[in-house]
Amino acid sequence: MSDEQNNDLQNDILRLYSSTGHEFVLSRKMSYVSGTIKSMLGGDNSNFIEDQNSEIRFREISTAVLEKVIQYFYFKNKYTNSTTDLPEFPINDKIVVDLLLCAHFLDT
Amino acid sequence: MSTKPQQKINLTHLKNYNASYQQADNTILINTAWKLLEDAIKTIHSKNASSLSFEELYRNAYNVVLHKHGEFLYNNLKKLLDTHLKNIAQGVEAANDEVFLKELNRCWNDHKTSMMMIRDILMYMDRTYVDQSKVAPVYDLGLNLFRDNVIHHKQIKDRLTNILLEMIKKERSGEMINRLLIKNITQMLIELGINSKIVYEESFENQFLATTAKYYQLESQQLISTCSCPDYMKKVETCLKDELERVSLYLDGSTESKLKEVSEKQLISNHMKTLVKMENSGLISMLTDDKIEDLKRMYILFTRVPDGLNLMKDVISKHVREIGREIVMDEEKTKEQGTYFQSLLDLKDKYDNLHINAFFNDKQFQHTLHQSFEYFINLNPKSPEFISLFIDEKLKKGLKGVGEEEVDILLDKILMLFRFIQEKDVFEKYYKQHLAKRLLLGRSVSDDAERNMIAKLKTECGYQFTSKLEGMFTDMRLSVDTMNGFKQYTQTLQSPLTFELSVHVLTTGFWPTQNTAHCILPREILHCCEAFKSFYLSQHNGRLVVWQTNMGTAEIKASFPSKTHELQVSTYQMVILLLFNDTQKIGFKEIAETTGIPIPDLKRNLMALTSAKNKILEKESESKTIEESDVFAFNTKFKSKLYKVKIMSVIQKETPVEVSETRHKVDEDRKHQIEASIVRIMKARKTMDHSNLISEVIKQLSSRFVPNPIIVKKRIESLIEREYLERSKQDRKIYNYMA
Repeated sequence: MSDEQNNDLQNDILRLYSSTGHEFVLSRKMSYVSGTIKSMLGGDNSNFIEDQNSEIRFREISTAVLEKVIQYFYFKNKYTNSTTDLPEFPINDKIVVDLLLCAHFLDT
Repeated sequence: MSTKPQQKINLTHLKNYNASYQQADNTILINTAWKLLEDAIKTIHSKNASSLSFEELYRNAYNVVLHKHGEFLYNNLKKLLDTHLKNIAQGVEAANDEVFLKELNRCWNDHKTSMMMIRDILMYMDRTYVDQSKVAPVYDLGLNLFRDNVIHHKQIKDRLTNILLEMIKKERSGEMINRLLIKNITQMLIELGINSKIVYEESFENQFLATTAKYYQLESQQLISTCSCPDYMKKVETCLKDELERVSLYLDGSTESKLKEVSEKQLISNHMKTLVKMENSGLISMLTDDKIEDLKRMYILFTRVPDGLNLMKDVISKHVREIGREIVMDEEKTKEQGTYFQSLLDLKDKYDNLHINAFFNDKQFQHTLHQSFEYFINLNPKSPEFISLFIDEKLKKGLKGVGEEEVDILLDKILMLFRFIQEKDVFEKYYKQHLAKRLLLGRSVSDDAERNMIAKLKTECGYQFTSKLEGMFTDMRLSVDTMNGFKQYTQTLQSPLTFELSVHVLTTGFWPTQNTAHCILPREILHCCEAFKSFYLSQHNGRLVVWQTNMGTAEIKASFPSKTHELQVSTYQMVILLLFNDTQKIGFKEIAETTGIPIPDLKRNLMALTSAKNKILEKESESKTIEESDVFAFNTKFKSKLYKVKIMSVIQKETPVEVSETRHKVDEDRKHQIEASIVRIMKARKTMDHSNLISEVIKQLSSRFVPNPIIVKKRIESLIEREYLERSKQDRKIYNYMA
């Protein structure tokens, strides 16, 4: 039982790396907010290298942006289907354009 | 407020960002990207995708499309896939028949997997370029190319169809086949159609249906020439079941209805008539032999095809009419009313049973059966009389010792048949006569059963129909009270009566009275009658009392030399017998004169008294019939074991004259009813045209009888003559009601 859970936990871990090699660890499920990441990992029959290693290196995404993106994943997961009022999602003006492009890239 | 200007700055920043890419000479960049993707796709095709980085491929494809080279990427992809699939097609084509489908299936599965991966890495193109330029998405592109290059390949297309059909043919003839493979292949054909089933239909279904039709055409012809109708139907049932199973196992659901239609047409529609008319095993013999299971099967099979049930209905109707007509027109049976009617009831029972058990209570079938019954019951004009006679019989004897519920069921059944009768008024006439006899002679077995019957008739035909019948019951009840009163009254009389008198007071109109010639009653009896008359009139002033001597009965004591007997006789017979108190021998003419009994009645009663069984009187001549010259004498040698002797009156057969008389009476009655109906309608409508009026009248009266339009027309004319109606001055066809 605990083994299985452990295994599940292990499988669920996903590492994301920014262009400067900064590592972020998060749950796979969270990352499915991004269509791109979802098909990278969960594609029906595909078996790309990212899926095998449970890590994705984004060469064009800076650490600040990727951090924001991951924050958004959690934000989105928390408030989807929630009835409470949506709080504002804070975004730093400096990264706003890069974030926009990144969101486009990730299909978020 | 401060956010607005910032946004503007950001937008310019964005433009610069894009521009910087565009300005750069990026053809090299694009080409490298394509090279990378091309290699990756080839790797995917060779199933080595695990060494690829999705992020890298996606990023490259993303950049290519972002830099407005989507079309370039799309076309290159198309070319690449095209070449790849041409190779595949060659591989499939090379496979021999046995592994052909397997090979095809394998290629298809590989292709599907690769296409999914390709779609994923080119996702960005699907999202932007495909959307904007309205071309097929990557995955569908893959399907289309597969269809054009592989399935529609000259050497593959027909082969595929033929192999599929061959396999199905094998299964039909009982061999085992790889169903899963066929299922996969048909599934593939469906998927290749992309939201439509064109590929499936073209490559497989059309030919499949055609072969099925041919197959079953041959099969059914062979079967029908060798099998009996029930066997054939069983076989057809299995075939249809197999086909249905086939669809659910490895064909597409949309084929089901088409396949059903094709096979049903071949197996059922084309042979329907032959089946039904098959000698010794067709529909008619099933009906005669009560083959419920077979009939059920036939019903189920025939429901599936258009006109199947209609054919069945027609044949059944014809058959029932035939049988019914035989019963109705059978001279032997019509003589014995009991069996005549019983066989009708049996017939009805039989078909009700079939209807419920084999035809699933189908409303249309019921209607047909009813029509057929109505048809033949009304063929015989005596049917109303026979129904009444049958009830009479049952109520007189048949219901002795039968439970109340069974009586109820029987009466319901009778009523079912009664419903089919058109001339309900004729029935009423006869029923009244028979009921009167039962009541007056005390022949009825159960009062409850009688009342039950009346209640049923009432619900069936309405109050009007039974009011007189109920009146008869009321009369009987009142008579009992009257007689109690009369008994007390006689005790107060100075001159006590010499015998008991029991009188039924009958209201004129309720009872089927006949205008009887008076019979001259002996003095003692006349005295009694007078006593009753004065008693009755003292209670009910202003009424007219008429004696119906032809309906009475009497019990008289007769002293024979051997023994004294009590004789139960009719009033007429009593009058005759009393004559012999005074003399030994009397001639026929003398009897007629002294008693005043009408000659035909007299003859009948004398016949009863001289019959071999109860020879009360002796006749001098030997002839069987009573002649006017006969002379009668008291039979002193009369012997009987019983103390009470019942003289059966010779049953009065309805003479042709009487039949026509009844008929005449009925017609006369109808005239009044038709007129009443016309006046009722016209009073409500004020004006009405001829045809509407006639149809309305027929509708109103149909619960009692079906009037002939010509007679209705005559009644209208007569009403015009009597100034109830007038013809409209504008239109001769329109009548006005005259208040």
